[in-house]
Amino acid sequence: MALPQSLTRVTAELPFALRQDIEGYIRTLDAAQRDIYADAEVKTDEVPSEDFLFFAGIWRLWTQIDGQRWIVRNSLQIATEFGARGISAGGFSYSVGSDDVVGIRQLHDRYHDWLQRHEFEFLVQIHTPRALLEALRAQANAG
Amino acid sequence: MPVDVETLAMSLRSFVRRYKTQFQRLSDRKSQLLEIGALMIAAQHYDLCGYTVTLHNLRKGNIRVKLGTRGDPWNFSRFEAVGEYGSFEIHTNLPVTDALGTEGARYVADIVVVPAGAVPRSALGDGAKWLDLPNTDLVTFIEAKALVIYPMLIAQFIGIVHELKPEFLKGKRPPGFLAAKHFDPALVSLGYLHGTCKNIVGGFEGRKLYIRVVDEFDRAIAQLSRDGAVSPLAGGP
Repeated sequence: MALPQSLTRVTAELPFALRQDIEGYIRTLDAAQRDIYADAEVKTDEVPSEDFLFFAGIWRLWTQIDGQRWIVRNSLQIATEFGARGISAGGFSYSVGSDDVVGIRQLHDRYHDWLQRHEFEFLVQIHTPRALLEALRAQANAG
Repeated sequence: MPVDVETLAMSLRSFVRRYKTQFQRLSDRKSQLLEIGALMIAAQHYDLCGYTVTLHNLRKGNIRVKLGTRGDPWNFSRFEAVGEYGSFEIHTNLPVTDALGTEGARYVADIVVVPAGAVPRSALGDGAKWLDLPNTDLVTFIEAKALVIYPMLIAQFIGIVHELKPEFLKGKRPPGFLAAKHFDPALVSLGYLHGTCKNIVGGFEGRKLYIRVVDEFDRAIAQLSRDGAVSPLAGGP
């Protein structure tokens, strides 16, 4: 199945590697979605497949941003425990207040705000596609 | 659905356009952050196992992490772990010869544990070039991926272990390996373990495959910075 247009409209704006990641992930989900729906006991008339894949894309983007924030924050904490002020790798520099660390936090906060503004903050608590599907059904039922 | 997906998509598209530069940075630093995180997990593993872990070769107070194949290891930082069962070093992105000694066969492992002193600490004399770590000096290693752990990724990792440390796929560890509390060759991933992989990973023990798969390691690293932490690399059959 082709990726939902709603999703590709967004991914078209992303840098190539990030776009590849998101779209590749959604294709994997697409291939496995019959099992995911069955595991979650959700029917496609409750959560249409296109909507599930679109929200999975939004969620995947969140996990990329949130994952980097976790890694940087905790890596810096561990590095500090070992006596380093920060971490440099390639052209990037990670230390308290460095442009890269501030940039990660800002993007995290902005995307979180965006999710909140559209009442999709629950996505930040999701850990699996099945949980995402269940949450989407709950939201549809609540609506 | 109570929401208009098309409107939402247009809003997110505007958001991505607005913060284009930050998304570019997000994309650019993705793999390097994984390797940094994996390095920290390895260092913390030895710390939690009772080793005295210290950092060496800092640059202006910062850890300088080697990314990719370029650069000589002595120009980058390393961790040293000293314990009852020996002294070891943790490096990033070291080329390692394969287990068979095939001419020219080198694999660059993301995180590499070696006996202390196995990697030169300064440039070699007479303009000689350091090419690789002899396989016999490779204690263990980590591969870091940003992907969901799906069967083919596990198969790829098993292939790497087969080339670098095949004994771990034959139910054998080097003498003293467990006593020294080393971790088995590990695949760490930012993604979660795909449903189809759970049985595969669950079957490692019965098949005597001494390898580790750590999913969602961004969460694992968060746990490590708390009191009473347990290394996500510890354990195994």
